[in-house]
Order: sequence, then structure tokens, then C-alpha cells
Amino acid sequence: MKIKEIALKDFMKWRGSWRIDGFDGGVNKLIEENEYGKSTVLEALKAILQFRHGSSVAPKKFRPFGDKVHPEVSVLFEIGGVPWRITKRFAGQSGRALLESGGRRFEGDAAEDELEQLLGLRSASRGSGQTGVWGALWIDQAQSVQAPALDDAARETLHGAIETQVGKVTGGERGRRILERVRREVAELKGERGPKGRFKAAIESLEETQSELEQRRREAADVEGDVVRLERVIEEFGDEDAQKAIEELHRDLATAEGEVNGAKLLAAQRSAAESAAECARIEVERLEDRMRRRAEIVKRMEAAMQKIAAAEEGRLDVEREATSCATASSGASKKLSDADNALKGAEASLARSKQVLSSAALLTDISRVEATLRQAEEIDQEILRVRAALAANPVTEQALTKLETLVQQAEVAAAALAAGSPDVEIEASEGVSVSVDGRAIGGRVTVTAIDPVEVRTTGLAVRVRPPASADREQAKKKADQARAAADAALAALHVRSLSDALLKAGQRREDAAALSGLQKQLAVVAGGRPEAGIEPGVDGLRVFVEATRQALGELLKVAGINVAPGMQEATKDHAEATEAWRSALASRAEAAKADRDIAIRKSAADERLKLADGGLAEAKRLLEQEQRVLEGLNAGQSDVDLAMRIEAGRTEAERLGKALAEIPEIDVDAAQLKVSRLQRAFKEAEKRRRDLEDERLRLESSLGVRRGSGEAVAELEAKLAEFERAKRRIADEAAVAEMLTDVLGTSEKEAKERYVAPVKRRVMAGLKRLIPDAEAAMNDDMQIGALVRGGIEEDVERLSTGTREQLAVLVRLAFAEMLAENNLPAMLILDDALVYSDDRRLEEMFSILDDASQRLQLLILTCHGRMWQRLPGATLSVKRCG
Amino acid sequence: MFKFIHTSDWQVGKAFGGFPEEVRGALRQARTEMVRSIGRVSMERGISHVLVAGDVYDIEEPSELTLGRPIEAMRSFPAIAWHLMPGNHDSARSEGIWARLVDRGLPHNVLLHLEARPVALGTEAFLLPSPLPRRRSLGDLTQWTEEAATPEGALRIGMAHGPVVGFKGEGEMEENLVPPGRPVASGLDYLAMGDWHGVKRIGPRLWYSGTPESDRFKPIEDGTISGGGSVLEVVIEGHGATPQVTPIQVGKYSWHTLSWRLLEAGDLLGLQDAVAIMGEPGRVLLKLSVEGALPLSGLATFEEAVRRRMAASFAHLELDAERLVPDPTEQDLETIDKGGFVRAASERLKNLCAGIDAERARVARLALTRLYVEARAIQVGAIREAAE
Repeated sequence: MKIKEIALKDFMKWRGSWRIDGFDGGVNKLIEENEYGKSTVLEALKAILQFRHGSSVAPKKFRPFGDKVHPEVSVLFEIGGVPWRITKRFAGQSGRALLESGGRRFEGDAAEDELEQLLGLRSASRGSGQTGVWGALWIDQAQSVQAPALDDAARETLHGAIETQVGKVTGGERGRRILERVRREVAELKGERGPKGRFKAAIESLEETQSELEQRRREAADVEGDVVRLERVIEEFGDEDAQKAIEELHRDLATAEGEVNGAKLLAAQRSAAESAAECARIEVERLEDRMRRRAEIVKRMEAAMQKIAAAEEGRLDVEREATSCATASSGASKKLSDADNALKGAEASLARSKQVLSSAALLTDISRVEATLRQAEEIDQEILRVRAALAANPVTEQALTKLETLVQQAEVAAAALAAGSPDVEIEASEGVSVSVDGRAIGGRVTVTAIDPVEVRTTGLAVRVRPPASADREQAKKKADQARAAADAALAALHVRSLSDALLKAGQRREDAAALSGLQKQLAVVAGGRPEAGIEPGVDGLRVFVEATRQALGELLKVAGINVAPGMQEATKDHAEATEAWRSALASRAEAAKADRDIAIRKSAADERLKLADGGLAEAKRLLEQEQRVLEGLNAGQSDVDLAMRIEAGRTEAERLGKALAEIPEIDVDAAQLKVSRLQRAFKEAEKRRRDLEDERLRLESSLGVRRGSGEAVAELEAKLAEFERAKRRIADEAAVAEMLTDVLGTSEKEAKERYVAPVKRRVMAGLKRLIPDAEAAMNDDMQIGALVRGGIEEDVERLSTGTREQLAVLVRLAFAEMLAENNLPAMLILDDALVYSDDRRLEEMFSILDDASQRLQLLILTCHGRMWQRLPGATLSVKRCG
Repeated sequence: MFKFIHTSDWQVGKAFGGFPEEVRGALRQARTEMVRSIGRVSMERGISHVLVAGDVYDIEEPSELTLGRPIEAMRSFPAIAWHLMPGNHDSARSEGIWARLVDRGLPHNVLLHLEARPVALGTEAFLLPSPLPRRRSLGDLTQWTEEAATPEGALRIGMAHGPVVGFKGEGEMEENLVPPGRPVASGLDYLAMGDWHGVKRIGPRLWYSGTPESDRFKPIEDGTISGGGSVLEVVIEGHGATPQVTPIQVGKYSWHTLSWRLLEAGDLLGLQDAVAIMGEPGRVLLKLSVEGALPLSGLATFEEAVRRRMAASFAHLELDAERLVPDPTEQDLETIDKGGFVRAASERLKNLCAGIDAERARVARLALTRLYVEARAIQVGAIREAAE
């Protein structure tokens, strides 16, 4: 299809009548600035395609804003070399359509129908916003990066074109319906859709039934087991042999119990006989014992009386000893009292002699410490003198060092000054009076002229001035300051020169050494003696002497003497007093020992007397006691009476022993054990029967409500078999459906690949020029879904805007070329497209479009005139008509 | 003359595993109705004794309902004495079915023969039952009848349950075996046997009545129908006379087994004819095995005619068409599609059908047929839409 002319009248912003003509068969460019109305031209073409002339929407949509006019579009185009003109006036029900070609003329709906035939439009899509394949060929403004949107009509047209080229490969609607139906079936069977598939439901039913069957089988097995148990219980319960055995057991038990009772009776008789014989024997023994005890008591009484007589004799001896001890004790007490008095006198004499001896010792201490005190006071005086000398001598080591430094600095400064001063050598001739700075000299003298030197002789005065310079002035000033500092230091130390200072410093060092020696000496003499109460220092000695004197005075007062004797005399008196005290002390100890011995003897005699009295009384008491026992044993019976009773008892015991021997001895315990065993056996047998009865009742009761389990099992087995068949059937259905889906899906995929091949081939031709290493992945809807580069697939949505825009144009171009090859009407309209492309790709796109323009008509609507200059073609303009 | 009905193997409570639930229900229901049928037949013939030679019940632990149903059916025929005897499925073990029946109370006309001893059947005949005390017995349970005394001239009618021919290998003991010469050895006028489900005459005095309601696909000899479905009317003129035995049909369902080969569309018509003579389809259970190869169009017809219509009309259809394979023609494939991916898929499936993987080839055959049916359905639908 090739457009030759477009005429607009009152169409959107084009008020009045306008025409675009001069179309070329290839590239056509309408280059105008923004808001010129370029896109309105595209809208006009769409209006022709999309809206029938009677559309009620079109007039409102296309009329100029605010006007009440009826928009009109007229397009002159050529298909297959035949020119056609379609003119539509959109005025609702009074709209018009006119299609003309040569002598043929169609109006109204006939024009619309013919136009649909010519352009491959579908009436069903008209007015529904669908533009058919045209919408897939044209790029609207600001839509250049979008892939072509295919509506149903566009797909139908494109599919038709493709199938013309590659044949019917997709299977069309039939294939899709079959595939959809089978897929739905698979989903239904496998549960991919909805809550549960039939297959899964069948498996679940199967599993549930299996589970229930197992449970029922277990129950049935339990019932079967209980039935068997019940059979056995009943059989055992009704077993006559068992019943006979129990009856026999019962009889044996009764017999055994009778035997036990007889044995017990005999045992009782035997026990009674044994008891009587034992009683007789015990009575004989008791009487014999009585006889024996009576003889023993008489014997013990005779011995007791003898002991009492001996005790009374011993008591008299003890009594005499006690009396003697009392007399001796009185004498010993007198001697002890005298010894005590003598000892007290000796102790008083000894105390006084100790006081005198102490005073003599104190006096000796005072004399000795006073001598030390005097020596210490002399040393202390010398220390005071040396300290005064040190205080008067300021030349310390530090001051000396400082002075030496200052003197040295003055000498250095003076030497420096002298070095810059001229030496004046003066030689006075014999007899000539020459003075230098007023001082007469003789012979040869060299004077350094630090300051101006005046050399005067008779009739002549020569002044030698040192050279004046800033350095010399500086040196001189420095020398003066150093000298002044050294002089000030000397004055501060009260010396005239450094050598004086050295002498005084030597004196000061000697004084310091002497002071140190004196202080050490004093420390030795008056170092103090803490153990004697003497503090260090001279004052410590003085305090000690004073305190000791005071103590001596008090001691003399106590001792009652005025003067302390000499130490020798005091020591002699004290030794005599001590000897006298020791003698008194020994006497007193001897008297005390004698007194204690007497007292001990007396106490022992008294104790023995008490014991003798006590023993005598106890012996008498025992004798009386034995007497009473004897009287009790006698009880008015004589020994003869007792002997007769004993004999009679012996005779009775012998008789009873013989009677006991005649009673048979039976093992009652053994008989009792047999009874016990039989009783237990009988009880067990009875219990077994009771248990069997209980078990029978229990089983019957239990089975009563559980019968029928076998049928339940059979029923479940039947259901299981049915479910298994159903499962196999559904599995078969699913396998068939899955295989069908798989095979159909694979075939469809391959078909689709073949299907999109014509489009892809054309797209790839352009793509190789733009992106040489890229491959386009086309989807079912003939769109580029992704680009594949280096094996990596990039979704088209992630590509740059420029690339997407280029791909969009390539796809549309491919569609248009494919349609054109099939002699279907097609042309490409690009409204403001390719604005995002870089220079290189833009160049390539121009080449691609230029190439396509050999086969297709292209309409470029753009405001980028300079850019599109590189694509040759006709430049269009909109002209007012009339 | 003494006449009675000889029946056995009612197998009440049989579960019929493997059948769909509704079929199982119907078959179970038929076994109860069968008792009434026997009652009616007996009444019609003036027969007052029905001997049931074992296996009244199929299982040893039936539910109370199953236990009671035949009893209640028998109760409704008070003029008939129903003589029930334990078989191998419902042996006389203590505390088993029979104890339960006794416990629940039996109608006066239902007589249990749980012990091997002669029982008078009126004034002219004695029944000598040999009940099975347990499921399996190795000895001859009918031995006792040799010594069993009955009045002179009275009919001696034995009743036993078990095979007369052993099927086990050498050295293995046959269970519940009854010697075929028992009638002669014990002087029996007739030995009513149970165990085999088809009617079988072993000798003039020894018959198997078979089950009155067939219950399995086991065709008799060369026919299609399984045995069973009848009771025996036995008429004995007097002691020593040869019994007159007449089978009487009482069963509701007939069980047929049929194998058919399909090689062309016409063969299908033959199959339809063959099943048409089996009787009323609603009372026929058919086990059909087909083999052969058909074009897809023929298979589609087979699917429609057999798998759908026949299955719906018969009481039950058990179809084995595993060996019926598609033999697609070019026309078949054209019908699926002339081109496009569906056609490509049909070619693929055709190749798969010939593959060496048997299971995959089997599924491929079904899939190909299915594809044909689907494509055909769409075609038909399209034609119908166009016509409308």
C-alpha cells in the first residue's frame, strides 16, 4: 500500500481544509516543530482504519476543540498499482463514507466493507480500539520503545502471512483446544489445579482403605483369637476329667485334715503328760534345793559371828592410835607458830637490806652518767663553734663553681677584646721618663690598647686609640658586663679574687668535716640507752641524772637513812640478811612438815576407826539377815520332813515318765504341710474354674459386640480392590494425558519455532547490523522477548531505551516486509521514533530503513529535521486548501 | 415318593472384591433374593424340604445383618423345612456362626445339622448330614454314614460338602474329600453335595447342586456362561430307586466370559452380535477380552460401542483391551489434522507405538487413540456448530 495524498478537514487541530501530497513510494518525511500537528496526521489515518463513518465516538474524538463541525479525512492510496480514495466524514448517524477507484464507487457501509477487504481489516474489531495489523506497523509518538501490540486482528493477519510462507505448522485452534483440554485433564488428575486431583484422591482413598483394612484385620484377628480362646475355655470348663480331679482333691483334703486333728489330740495328751512329769521333777528339785540352802546359811552364820569378834578387837587398837595422834598434834602446832614469827622477822630485815643496796646502786649510776654528761657537753660546745664558722663562710661549693664560671667568662671576653685591640710596644730609653696612661714605665713594654692609651713622655703625648667598630664595641661591652658580673660575685662572697675564694672554700670544707666528726662523737657518747631509760642527746643524759637523783632521795627516805652507803658495804649487809632469811625459812618448813605428818596420822586413825565401826555394824546386819532367811526356809518343817517329801516326789515323776512313753509320737507339722498343700491345690483349682467362668463371660460379652469383623474385612478388601483398579485406571488416564501433553507440547514448541522463523529472519537481518553478536529470542507472540549475547539471555525489558526502540522498529519493519511480500497492504509510520539511538546505530537504522524503502512506503513524522536529513526521501508539507 | 430341593454354596456375605461398589451391592442383594426364589420354587412344586449342603455363608464372621438376612427370608416360608449344614466357609466350630444363630434364636423351620447323626425327614426319609467341624478336615467325614442305622425301607439321603476329586499334588492330603463311591458304600439313595459352584452330576446318586446365584467368571466347557444359578429338584420314588434330578433356574445374574479378535471394523459387529444373545444386559456380567489391531477410527468406534455403551447397559463389564492395538491409517492421521503440530504429535505417537519400551508403547497407543477421539470430537463439534 502506498499513500499518495491525505486531506483533512476540521480534523482535530487542523481547522479548515488541509492537504498533504507529494508522497514518494519510499521514504516520506514530515519535518515540523513541536505541536505542529504531525501526530494528528497519524490520528487521521487511524480514524480511517478504526472508525466507521457512523461512529458516535469519532465526531467527539476528532473534532477541533470547542467546535461543532464534523471532522473529515480523505486518503488517496494505491494498492497493487490501483489508486483508491477513501473519504470519511464523521458525523454520527449522518456520517458519510465514500470509496472510489476508477469508475468504481462505494458509499456508506459498502465503502466500509470494501475498505476492510482492501486493507485486511476485521469489522468485528472496528470501533473497539483495535487497529489490526496497522497498529503493529506504526509507532506512535512517545511509544517508540514499546514492542508492537498485537490485537486479535493483527495476529490473524500476521499468522495468515506467515502460514502463507511456512505452511500451516501450528495446528491452529484445533491443536490449542486439544492441548488445553488435555492439560486441564492432567491438572484435574494430578491436582495441579483445585484442591486435589483425582489421582491423589484415589491414592488417598486407597491408603485410607488400606489403613482401615489393617485395623479391621487386626480386630478380626483379635476376634478370631478370642473365639479360639473361648473354645478352649469352654472345652476346659466342661472337661469331666478335670472336674473329677478337683473332686478327688477335695476328698484327699478332707482326709488329710482328719489326720491332722487326730495327731493334734495325741500331741495334746502327750504334752499334758510331759507337763505333769516335769512338775514332779521340778518339785523334787525345789525341795532338794531348799535343803541345800538351809545348810549353807547355817554355815555362813557361824563364819559371820567369828568375823564380828575379830572386828571388835581391831577397833580397840585403832582407837588407841587416834588418841596418841591427838596429843602429838598439839606440840607440833606450837613449834610451827614459833617458826612463822622468826621467818617474818628475817623477811623484814631482808627487805630493808634490798632498799639500801638499791640506793647504793643508784648512787653509782648517777656518778657514771654524770661523767658521760660532762664529756657530751664539751663536744656539744665544739659543735656550736664549728657551726658558727660555717655560717660565717659563704663560699659554698656551688657559689665557688658559679664564681669560677663568671671569672672564666670575664677572662674570655677580655681576651676577645684584646685580640681586636692593637698592641702598643713602647721602649723607653734609658733615662727618659715615659708613662703609659699615667703610669711610668721603663725599658720595653707592650701595651694592648683596649681603650685609648696615652703614652706620655717629655714633651710628647701619644694617644693610641683602638680602631672603632661595631664588633669591637660589642666585644667591649660584653667584656665589661662579664667583668662586672665576676666582680659582683666576688663581692657577694666577701673575697677579692678567685684564689681568695678557693682558700675560703677549702676552709669551709674542713669545718664541715670537723662538724661531721663531732656529731658522730656526740652520737657515740650521748647515744642514749633506752633499756636504762636514757634518751639520746645531752638533754637525755641531764634528764636521767635528775630523775635518778630524785629516786635516790625517795629510797633513802623509805630506808630511813640519810646517805647512801657504798656499794660494797651495802652488798655485804644484804648478803647477811639473805642468809638469816633462808635459815628462818628452813626452820619454818621443818615445823610445818612435822605438823602435817601428825595431822595425817590422826586423820588415818580416825578413818580406820570409822571403818571398823561400819564393818562391825554391817557384819551384825548380815548375821541378822541370814537368821531371818533361815527362819523362813524352816517354815516349821524339819529336815526329816523335807527328805520324806523329796522321796515322794521322785516316785511320782517316775510314774508319769512311764505313762508318757506309752503315748505315740506323731509328726503334726508334716500332716499339716500336706493339708496346706492340698488346700492350696484345691483353691487353685477352684480359682481356675472361677477364672475360666469369668473368662468365658468376658469373652462372650466382648465377642457379642464385635462379631461381624470378618465381613467388614471382606468388604474392605473388596473396596481396596476396587480402589486399586480405579487407581490403575486413573494412573493410565494420567499417563495417557501426560504423554499427550508432552508430545503435543513438544510438537507445538517446534512448530512455533518454525512459525516465528520468517519474522525472526527479517529481524535478525537488521539486528546483525546493529548488534553483530546478538541473537533475538522470539516468543510465541512474535515479539522479541530477550537478546542472547555470549550465551547469556537478557530480558528485553532490561535493555537500554535506545536498543529497545531499535528492536521495536525492526520488528515492525519485519512485519511490514512480510506482509508486503505476501501482497498485503502494509506501510511503516514512525512518529518521532529513534530519538534515543546513538550516532552509529542511527546510521545503521537509516541504512536499514533506506533499504526497506525499496519495498515499502515509509512515513516519518519528526521534529528532528537535521537528524533525518541523513535519510533521503520526499519532504512533505501540510497545505491549506481553498 | 419323596422330593426335595438340593442346593448349596449360597455364600451369603460374599464381598465380590474387585467389582465397583454398586455392582457389589447388587450382587450381594441378589444372594438374599435368591433364598426367596428358592422358597417360591419349592412352594410352586409342593416341596417341603430344602437341603443346603454347606457354605450358607461365605465368611465365618459375618455381620449381624448378613447373618440374619437369609434366616428372615427362610422364616417367610414357614411350610418349608430348611436344612442347613456347615461347609468349609462356615464350619461348625464352636462359638462360630452356628452358635451365633442359635443364640439369636432360629425360626422353627430352620434346622441346623451340626452333628453327624441321622435326622428324620418326615416319615419316609432320613437325612445323614456330614457337617464340617472345621474349615479343613483331612479324614472322610461321611465315613460314619456306613454305620448309621435307619429304619428299614426309609430313604437314606446324605448331605456333605467337599470335593470328590483331589486337585492337590502327589503326597499332599486333600481336604474335606468325599469318596465318589460314598452313596454305594453307605447305601445312600442320594448324596447332596456342596462345594463346587457349577451343577455337576458325579453319579446317579451323587450330585453337586452348584450355587443358586453364580458368583464368578468360570465358563462351562466351551461356552461363555459360568456355572451355577440353579437348584436341583430331586425326586426319589422309593428306597433304592434312581433319583430324578432336575435343575431349576433361580439365579438373577449370568456371568459370561468372552474373548474376541478385532482386525477390521466389521469384527465389531460380530462382537455385538455375540453379546446380544447373552440375555438381558442388565442381568449379565461380562468379562470381555479383545485383541487385534484396528484403525483409529475403528478404535474410536470400539471405545464408543464397547467401553461406553456396552459398559453402561450391562450389569458389569470387565474389559481387557490391552492387546487391542491401533493401526492408524493415513486417513486417521488426516482426521487428526492435515498439518500443524497436532499432526506432528500424532506422527510422534505413531512412532512411539512401535517403540521397544512395551509400557511406553502401550500408553502411546492409548494416547494416539485419545488424540484421534479428541480431534474427531472437535471436528464433529465444528460440523454441528456450522449446521446450527
